[in-house]
Amino acid sequence: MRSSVTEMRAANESRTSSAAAHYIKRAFPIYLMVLPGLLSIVLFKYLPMFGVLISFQQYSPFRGIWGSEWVGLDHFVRLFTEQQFVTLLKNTLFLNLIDICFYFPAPIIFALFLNEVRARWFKATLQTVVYLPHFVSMIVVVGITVVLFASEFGGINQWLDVIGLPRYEGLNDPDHFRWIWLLQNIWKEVGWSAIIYLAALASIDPTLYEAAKMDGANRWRQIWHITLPSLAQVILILFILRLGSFIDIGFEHIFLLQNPLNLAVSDVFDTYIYRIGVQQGEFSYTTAVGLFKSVVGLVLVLTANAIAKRSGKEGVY
Amino acid sequence: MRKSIAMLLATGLVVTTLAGCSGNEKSPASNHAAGNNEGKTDNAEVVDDGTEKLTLTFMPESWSGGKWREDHPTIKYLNEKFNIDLKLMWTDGPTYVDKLNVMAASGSLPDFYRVSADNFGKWQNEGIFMDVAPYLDQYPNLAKAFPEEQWKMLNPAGKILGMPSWGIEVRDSYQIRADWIRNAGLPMPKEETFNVDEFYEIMKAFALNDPDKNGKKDTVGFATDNTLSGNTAQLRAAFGLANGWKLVDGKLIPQFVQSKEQKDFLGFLRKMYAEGIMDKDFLSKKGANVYEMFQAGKSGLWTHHPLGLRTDTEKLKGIDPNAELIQLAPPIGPTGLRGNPTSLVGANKVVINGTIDPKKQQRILKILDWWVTDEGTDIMKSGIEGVHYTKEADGTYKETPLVETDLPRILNNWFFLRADVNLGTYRWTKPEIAEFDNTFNENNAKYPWKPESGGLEIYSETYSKKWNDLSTKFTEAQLKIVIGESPVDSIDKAIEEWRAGGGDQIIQEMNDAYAKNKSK
Amino acid sequence: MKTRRIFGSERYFDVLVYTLLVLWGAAILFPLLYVLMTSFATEKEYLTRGFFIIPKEWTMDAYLYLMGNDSFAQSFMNAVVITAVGTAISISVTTIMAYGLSKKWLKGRTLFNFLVVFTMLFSGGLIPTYLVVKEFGMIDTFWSLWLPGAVAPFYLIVMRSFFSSIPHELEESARVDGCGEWRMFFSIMLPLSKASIATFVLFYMVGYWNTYFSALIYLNDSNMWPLQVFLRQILVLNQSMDGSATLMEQVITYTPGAKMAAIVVSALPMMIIYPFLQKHFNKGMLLGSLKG
Repeated sequence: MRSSVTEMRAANESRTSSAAAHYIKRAFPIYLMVLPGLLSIVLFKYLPMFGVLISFQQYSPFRGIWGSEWVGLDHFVRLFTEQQFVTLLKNTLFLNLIDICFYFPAPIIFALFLNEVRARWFKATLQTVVYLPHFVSMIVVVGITVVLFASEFGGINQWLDVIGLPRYEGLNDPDHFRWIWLLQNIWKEVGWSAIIYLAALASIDPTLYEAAKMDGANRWRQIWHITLPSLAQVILILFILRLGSFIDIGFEHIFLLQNPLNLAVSDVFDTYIYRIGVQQGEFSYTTAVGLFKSVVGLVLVLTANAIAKRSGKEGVY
Repeated sequence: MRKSIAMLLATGLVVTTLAGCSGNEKSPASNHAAGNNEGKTDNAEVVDDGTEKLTLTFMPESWSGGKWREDHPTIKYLNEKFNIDLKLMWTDGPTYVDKLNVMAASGSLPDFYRVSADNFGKWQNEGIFMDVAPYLDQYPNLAKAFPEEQWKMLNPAGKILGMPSWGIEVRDSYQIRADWIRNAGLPMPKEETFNVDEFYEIMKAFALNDPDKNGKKDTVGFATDNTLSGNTAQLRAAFGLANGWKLVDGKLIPQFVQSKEQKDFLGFLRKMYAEGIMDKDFLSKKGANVYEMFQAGKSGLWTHHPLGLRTDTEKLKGIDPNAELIQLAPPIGPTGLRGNPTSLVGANKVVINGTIDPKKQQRILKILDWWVTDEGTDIMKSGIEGVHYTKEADGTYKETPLVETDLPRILNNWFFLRADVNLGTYRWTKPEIAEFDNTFNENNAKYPWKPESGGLEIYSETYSKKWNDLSTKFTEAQLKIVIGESPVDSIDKAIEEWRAGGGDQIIQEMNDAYAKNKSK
Repeated sequence: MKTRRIFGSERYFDVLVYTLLVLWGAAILFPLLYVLMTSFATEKEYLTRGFFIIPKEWTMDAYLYLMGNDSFAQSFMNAVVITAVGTAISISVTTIMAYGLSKKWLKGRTLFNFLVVFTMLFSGGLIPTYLVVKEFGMIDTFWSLWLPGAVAPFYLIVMRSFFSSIPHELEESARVDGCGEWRMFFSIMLPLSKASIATFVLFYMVGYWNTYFSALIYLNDSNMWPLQVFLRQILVLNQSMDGSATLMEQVITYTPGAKMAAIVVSALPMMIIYPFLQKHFNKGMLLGSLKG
């Protein structure tokens, strides 16, 4: 008995050392594959990260990071005690919320629908048309919206007049701001964002559908039981990553739609930074606001990823 | 496979470079410190006799894609004339500030460049700008190229760290559709008596009386944008508002605290909006959209310069052959005040790098001293004879097609130029056009509406932290009044909030700076 | 009886799908047509007519004007070089890295993945990045555009998840056949991942094609600027004339037609390439046939 135990132990030991050698042999090429990308990230993303230090300084480009005056948490105190901090937070969260509720699922739904189309030419044409707005810059999208929806000379209103329907006069209404913003986003980006899902759909094993058909499952059930589950992993990953920018809404689009009258609903951290920092060259303060946004994003990603992993899914890391 | 090997090699190289220079993060600051000393001690003795060929880097802004090719005839001319190798580092206008900041941080600023007033204020103690004052008497043309007050503006006492980046003070005035006034059956406004009531009547007719006689109600009266900037300067002036800041009894006060004037001005707009005279969609318009309406013949009033008047007339004639634009004097307000939009000239600066070889500094001054002469300005505006224009048999000049692509004028217009309102007349400009521009400018200059801060904003810390934000909030209150959402009196509450939110502090800091500046 | 019911519901399903897609397509198409047609219309028509689809008077002026500009040809070539080389670098680096990180048995995998995700959230900012790029001597070279952004974390993570969805057994059987990791990657994984590689080739290409801010910051020599810089200068001109507000500037003015033409030109190369990549989305990874 005893001897067999020691034998086993010895065998185990030699197995582990040979396993280590085996592992290295197997893993070495893989590490080599990871290396170039990792280097690029370390050199060009991590090396410059010393830059976040300037949010604790009164940075001057001439004194540099090592020579600028340290001010501790002053910039953060300024941000949190800023009169409109609550407004900024509220608007940012609200816009992100409607974005996640309506914009995020839109390309998924579009991809699912497109996947059900059998006529090749229709599918190809539609796919080509809907991804094009991605290339139209936001300035132009906003411009076209005005051409179409302006209350006096807008194309839509002239047309509504002709057919005798009431006019749409909400373009300048602060209450409509969020929805106009959302719809412009959807119009511009849904086709483009759907490409990732379409690529994922392309990898579904066609035999699964055949089997389902044999079982008499209709198309809704096929979508529900085959297509969606195959997309689940990609959706989950994109969702977690989307959470990382939950307090980050993008500057240009909002700025284009913003006017002093809709500020109460349209003012977000990015436009605030532009007004306060960028225009006035306050590097340290803008970096501090950026750091705050990053920390919030990090917390959300860590949480979401932990939940995903606990429920047995693969997270983003 | 080969690709990934190449990639590995490339990243390997990068690693070795990193090892070689990781201790260098400090370099910008130390470079600059060294340069600083050098600039101060040696300068005085250096005489540049022009024999050494020098490489000079100028950093002009590039707008709407305009820049010079490398073998531009004017560059060649300058290279030969001054024995230099001129490098023009064209920099995209909208991102110029970002670029300047990264170059400053990395210690690689060009030899000669422009800085905005606030960067000039922030950077003038860093020792990076050359002090031109000691040498100015060696360059007499340059010395008299700008008025005294602009030379001094924002420079520390006795020093000239920055030269004025010049521009026309009163460049624009109202331009109005004369044909519309006639169509509406109104008398042509007379400069001496034209007032805001008459202005109101004209706007009313433009909105409601079908001034373009096409039988459709498709015109607006008064058009502006959603920050109330476009076309409003003349009205603000008429109602006595400050152009930013105003000197009252030796104290600077901002337009934000002028309660009565604000009420008059906003009340005027509010009335026009309520009666359908003002563009109903102005809240969705930015400046460019307002201009487009004017160019499309949908509105009849715009604030612009004489060149704009000519090109717009041409465009408008394509839509309506009877279109005619005339310059319109600013309307007189209830207390007799009137004024055209006026900029503060001299606060933005053109600077010579203080850390470069003193010989280069002297050579740049030599070039500038020539640039501001009639001969120099002529070349910097019209280009080279035989290339950009030719002399005709009758003694007049004719531009060549190359002007379109070579843009010989842009280095002058966008980068450095002498104080001279005739900057838009070239060799080939017809005398009647030059005369027209001249009259236009003279008419404008009769009614200045000066910003009276003298650029001192740069010394107020609260200004740089809060001004933009406070202004935006104030504009919100103004807009609510104009569209009738709040009563006119609510502006008093906005003024209160403006003052409490940091405005009072800005006023205090501005007046401190003013007092200090006065005693200097 | 039963088959008819299925058939009936299938028909409704098709009608629903096609109707919604046609409506969506139309909502996209009409504004796009407006952009396209404005580039062929005269300025007068643009200013006076409001929304229109068919111009009354056709003109190619906008295109002739754009292409006649000195900057056009050169910046177009720059953009092609930046895009071609940049995409090649990025897709190679990203693909092998994503593949490597998809190995669940790899030690340190979680750490590497986290390092990648972290860069999506935190960044050092413009100035420090510039200083690093400058220290490497990459200012005024295209390397400043290629290397710092060689790996887009977002694409890497999604691609990694595509690789992880490839069945494990496939790898095992290949290993039994004595395949090395590199060979396995090139001869088995790559062909299987055509759809995802095509997707990210497209994304990277568009990314490089649209590069403008980094080009402006890192390239002092304006002769190296890519097309997007030129096109953007045309588009944003009117929003930012304050730079020369006091000058009586004979700014080079672009007609609305030229602006729309700029958009069309900037999208054109991608429109041409898209169909070639699109066919991979439809073909899929051929997994089914392999298994059988």
